[in-house]
Amino acid sequence: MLTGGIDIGSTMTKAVVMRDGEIAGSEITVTGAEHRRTAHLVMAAVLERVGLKLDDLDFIVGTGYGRLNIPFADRQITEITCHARGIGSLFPQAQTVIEIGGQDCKCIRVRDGKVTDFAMNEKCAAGTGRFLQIAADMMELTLDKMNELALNAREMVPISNYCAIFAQQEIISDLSLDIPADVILAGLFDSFARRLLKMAASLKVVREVVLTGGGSKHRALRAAVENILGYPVRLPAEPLLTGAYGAALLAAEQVQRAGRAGGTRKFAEVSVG
Amino acid sequence: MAEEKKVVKVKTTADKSTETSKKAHLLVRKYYHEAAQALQEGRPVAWLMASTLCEEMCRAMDVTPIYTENFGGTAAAMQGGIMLCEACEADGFSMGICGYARVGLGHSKLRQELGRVDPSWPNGGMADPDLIIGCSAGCEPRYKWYQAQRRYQQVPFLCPEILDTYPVGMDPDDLEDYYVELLVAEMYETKALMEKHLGKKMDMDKVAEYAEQSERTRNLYWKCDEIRRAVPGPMPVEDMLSCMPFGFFYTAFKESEDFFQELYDELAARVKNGVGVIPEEKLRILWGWGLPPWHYLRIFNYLESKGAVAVMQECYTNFCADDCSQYSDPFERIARYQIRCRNHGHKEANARHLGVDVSRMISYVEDYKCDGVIQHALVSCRQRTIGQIASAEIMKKYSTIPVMSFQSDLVDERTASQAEINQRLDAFLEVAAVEKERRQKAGLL
Repeated sequence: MLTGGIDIGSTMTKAVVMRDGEIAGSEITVTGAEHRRTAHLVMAAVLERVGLKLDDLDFIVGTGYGRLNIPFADRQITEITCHARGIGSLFPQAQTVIEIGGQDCKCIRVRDGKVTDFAMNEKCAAGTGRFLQIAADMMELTLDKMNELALNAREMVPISNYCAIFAQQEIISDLSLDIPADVILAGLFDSFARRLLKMAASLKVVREVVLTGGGSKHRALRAAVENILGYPVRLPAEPLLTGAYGAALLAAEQVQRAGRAGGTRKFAEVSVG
Repeated sequence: MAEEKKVVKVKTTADKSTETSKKAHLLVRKYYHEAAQALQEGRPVAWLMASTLCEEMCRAMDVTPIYTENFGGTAAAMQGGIMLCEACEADGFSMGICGYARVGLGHSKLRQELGRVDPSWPNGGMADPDLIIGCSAGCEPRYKWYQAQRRYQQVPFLCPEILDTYPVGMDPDDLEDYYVELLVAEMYETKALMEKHLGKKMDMDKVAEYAEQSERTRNLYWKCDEIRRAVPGPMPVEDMLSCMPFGFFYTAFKESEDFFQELYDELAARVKNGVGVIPEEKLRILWGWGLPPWHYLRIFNYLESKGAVAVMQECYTNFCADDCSQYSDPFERIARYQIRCRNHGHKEANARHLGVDVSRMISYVEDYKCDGVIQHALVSCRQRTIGQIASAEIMKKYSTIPVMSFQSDLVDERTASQAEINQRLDAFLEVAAVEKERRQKAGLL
């Protein structure tokens, strides 16, 4: 059975092709402004890599903010369901998933790979990948360097997590006071982690906790989360792909429910369950 | 200078399902026009808030009422709320103040600046009042709003002390008489003040007539909500929100009673013939705690486009029907009826050791066979927002159906992103569908 999952996020677009329950190939690219074009390009790239054509796939699930702009997807499912399914497969013991995307973050409570509850950030960049990008640009640092400095810091200053713009102003103020960059950055990641966990607290954070999404690649953020929780969290090998991977898994379930495979994608009315 | 660009207006109001609700706006407009006409003819107009218990008194004294909270919701639904909010904020009021209050204050501010009410304002705007009658029930902004209103309009402000909801855990049978005594005393005091300001006596026989009228209207309003338990749901929340003004505000009007009779007849016919809101009702949703996003009532159509129907709402309902005709003093009749409706379900809540609001939602989930609950966290209404996290936790102890909260506002569309709300709704509906399937497989449905 061949299935595809494609996740058009606000920042990055990801595609996964699965063959008989295993990942055959994947691709990640920048989303840009033209979702349909990006969807075609990313799927073409992954299909070429695994030597397949679009028509070879039995079912394709689209997810992410741009999921309605994937003309070749057989079904659209939200990224919350897709991340839960992907993480449920990678970490069967997972109960709490925190997904840090480019423009939002989500906390998802899962049981057996299915969503039991979820919370999302409100309309603010604080607590999203964008927040860290703003800080990196302002301090003229690469994201890697930012993490390295924060991880090696021995002190930190408190930074507001209420609003990305307020945080930006605080950073400017701290820099003007000659507070070292590593101390500011340690405070920034701590602030970010507290914001995430405050959102997650409405659902109660239960171990195992898995971080995913592009923002979870920040080592200093993971360290700050673990420091606050008091125990280690899990991280997929490629956190950007869990949504697309979950979408491809859900696509496989659709085919199984319909009881057939063979390259004709005509099962779009099957339910999600 | 560049040519001014035309602003593209996106439809935010809901498409309605029931024929009667499609006519609701005409009756609302009629009530506003009647106030404008009264002003022209030199008859007095009063601005009122919900729960003041003064509508029957106003009608008995030939005072035409306008409900300023109703205007707030209507203005937002007609995309006129922001203009009025901004006028209010320009005078130094915070964006955090109740959206209804900001619309009302903005209206008065612009009225003062223009020297008239602009007929292009929603429903032609509110006619100038001779009296403004607020009350203490509900929330703090209701005290302060009309107090601040007097910056713009030097008219008498009456503010009866209306205490109409029992504390958690108290036995209603022990409390009713005390509460009624307070309300009746406040109503007599309001009567005296109205007589003083209007320079004439109140006809208590007329008050009695209007009290009876209100009771009939409100009982029918409740009956319409009751019949909505049917599967498929005959009437969605967006339709009832359009009809709500006649069961929650303008109750002492025969036209309001007739409206609900027509609505009930339509609903009964729909139930009899199995007519639902959408062809295939996959999920039934309770609109839980929090007032509606008047600026985005199309949210309900969005749900319907995904196979989900909001079948019942927790807000602006009458909660029960009653007959208080045995009380000869019309004020006592009005007070008893109000107290009994407001506190309906209190005994059941006590048995559950819960507040009556949460307890009602638990009952609604069962009675209306709901598959999910949506709560609306309102940026400018803390009274209807505080406790939503706790209520969601409590409801999860009684049912496995999902509860979702989203943040926007009753009036202020600047606080909301429709794309973000829809994103959240999509995920919520998926969770609700999975949970419904689980319950079906487990033989629980």
